[in-house]
Amino acid sequence: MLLSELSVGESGIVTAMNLTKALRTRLVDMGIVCGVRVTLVRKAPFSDPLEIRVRNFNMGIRVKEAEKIEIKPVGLVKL
Amino acid sequence: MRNVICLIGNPNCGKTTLFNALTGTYRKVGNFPGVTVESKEGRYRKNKDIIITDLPGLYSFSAGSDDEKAVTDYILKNSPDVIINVVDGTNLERNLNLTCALASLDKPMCIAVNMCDDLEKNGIKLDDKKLSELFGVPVVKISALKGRNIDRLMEVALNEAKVPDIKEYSGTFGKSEGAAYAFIEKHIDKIIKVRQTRAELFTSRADRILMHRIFGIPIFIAVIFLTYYLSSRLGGALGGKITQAAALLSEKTSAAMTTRGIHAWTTGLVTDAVIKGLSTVLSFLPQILILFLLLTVIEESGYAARAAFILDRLFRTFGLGGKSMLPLTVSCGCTVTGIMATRIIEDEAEKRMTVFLAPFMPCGAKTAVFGWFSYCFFGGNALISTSMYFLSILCVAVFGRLLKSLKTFGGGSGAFLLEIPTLRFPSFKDIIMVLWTKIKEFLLKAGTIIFSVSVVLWILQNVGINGYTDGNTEESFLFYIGNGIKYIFYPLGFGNWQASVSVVTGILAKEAVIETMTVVSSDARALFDSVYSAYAFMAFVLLSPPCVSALAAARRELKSGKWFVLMILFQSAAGYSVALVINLLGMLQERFSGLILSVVIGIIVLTAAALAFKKNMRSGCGCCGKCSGGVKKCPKK
Repeated sequence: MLLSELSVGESGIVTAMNLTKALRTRLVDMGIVCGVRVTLVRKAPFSDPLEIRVRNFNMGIRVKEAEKIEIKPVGLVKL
Repeated sequence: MRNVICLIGNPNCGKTTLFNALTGTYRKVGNFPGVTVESKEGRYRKNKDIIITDLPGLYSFSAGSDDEKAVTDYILKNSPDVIINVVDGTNLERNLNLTCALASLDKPMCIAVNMCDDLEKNGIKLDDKKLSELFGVPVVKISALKGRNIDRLMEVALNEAKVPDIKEYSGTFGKSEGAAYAFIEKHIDKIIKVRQTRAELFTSRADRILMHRIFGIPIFIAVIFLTYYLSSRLGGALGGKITQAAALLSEKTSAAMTTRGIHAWTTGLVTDAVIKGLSTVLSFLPQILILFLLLTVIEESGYAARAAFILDRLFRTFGLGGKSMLPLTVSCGCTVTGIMATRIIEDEAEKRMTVFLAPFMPCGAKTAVFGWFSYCFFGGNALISTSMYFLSILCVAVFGRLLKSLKTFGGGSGAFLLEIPTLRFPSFKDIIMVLWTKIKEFLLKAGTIIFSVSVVLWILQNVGINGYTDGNTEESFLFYIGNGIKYIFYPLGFGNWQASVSVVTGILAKEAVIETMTVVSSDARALFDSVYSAYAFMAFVLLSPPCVSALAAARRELKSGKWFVLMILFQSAAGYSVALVINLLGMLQERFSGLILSVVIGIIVLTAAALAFKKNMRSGCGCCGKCSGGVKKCPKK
């Protein structure tokens, strides 16, 4: 499953990131690494970008990038 | 003796607030990652020998954008004696990733855990001893906003800072991806028990409304509308008082000088040029202050980051991205800082485009011009100045789209990874400081550029080849200069020498436009063919190249003379064409009343019909979407 396919409120564990080196480094810097839990908080108007919660803070990421991040769903958490 | 200290930390962790508290100076802060775009040095207020540097925030040393490169360069070049690593206590896990990267620099370091007042308020315990043991450096808990423990921090930084020594981990973090995070995850539970703070709870509730999928954008429009409406309404009322006072002063001075037998020449210079010119500009100070106040609240509360998020998709259709939002918003205050803020944009094409388009925004000085125009021509209708804001957005969209279609700008927009910070109330102190800085800047500008423009203009206007013209302006130098260029502006509806001269002085500072018009003409209304051409003039001021200071900033950010020249040409063409369209439409409207409405409705109806027609033509049988129809039988069926 891909990060972009999560529904609002669902979480997943990152399993793979198929991004260019530069972009991958930026994500890693912000704490998105394999094994980390991410939650989809909300979608912006027009469903892009997405707001995700990772390591106790929120950030925006575009669908284009979220489509390259594979996750394993872990179910619903209360927001 | 250690005396060069630098502050390093994640974006938006409070470095600038700490810097301001330590040095006793004022620097702009904001609740938006990336407000600090260049490093700044200051001296410790208790010991002037100690230099403190505030650096742009960064997540690591991988140097993705210009501001991150700036930090890396700074550390390599200046080799600071001590690094104070500022970490946000409410967001420790991610902040410590940078600490791990800093550890490998082998520099004496100490950690300042900021926002400790927030942690305490929410009953979150942070074990500073454990943190200190983990990295082998001293840790001080501070609150930069309240100024708590900051002198203790300086003592520790100067006397106890150590080169980091991580016993729990051998090897370097840079080697394998995410090694630092794995290390932090293992130890974080011993240092802090994370719990949702009250501010975070409030944020998540407020965001449901502010970032709503449907209401998010209307709310944004309402916020901006209110900002402009309030500033021109309230500011306009206050400004009127200043104008009245100045008129009285001018009258009294003139009378006093005449009775004492002072030459008309000098009296004219003092009353017409200095008092009248300066007071007209000064009367817009309240309007500018209110505008800045509201923009500061928008930025510091964290709403600007949210606006970037909700508008990202929309902005991408114009070749910009959500991150262009900050430079554009900041440009509404001042284009110079707006252009500097483009450094947070990683993508080169997107950054260039933002530099090209940011000067379209109505900055404080332009707002003053619009206020004056709406007062002179439209009976002080606040909607007229507000409409300029929406015109600028429209032009950013249209011209952005146009630029995007050019090959050189067409590059894909870069990634958008934007931290969405917790909402907070802007601090009263910061707001006061912003206003104070603005007043100082404004008065300085009024005292230097505007003052000299007034005097020089008045002299040019009253002196000709035959010396003092004694009120006969048509013999003056200014008359000849203005007449030389007035034909360019003829199609825009203000082809006279006075308006042409105003356009030229506007390049020095936009406020000078009002100033020039009041000095060179007794009634500005006579300078324009119609209210439409006055509106065209406003549009021209809005879109034509910005003031010299903004041009200098743009030259620095574009890093190329070729692009700079292209930018000036582009903005001139944009301003000219929009003003031309407005004036032509105005002329038509005057000649044939009701024509504009008919044309607009006609265009809408025809476009809708054409779109519907095109859609039906294109769809063919609709099974593949590629065929334009006209095929007898679909090969796929």
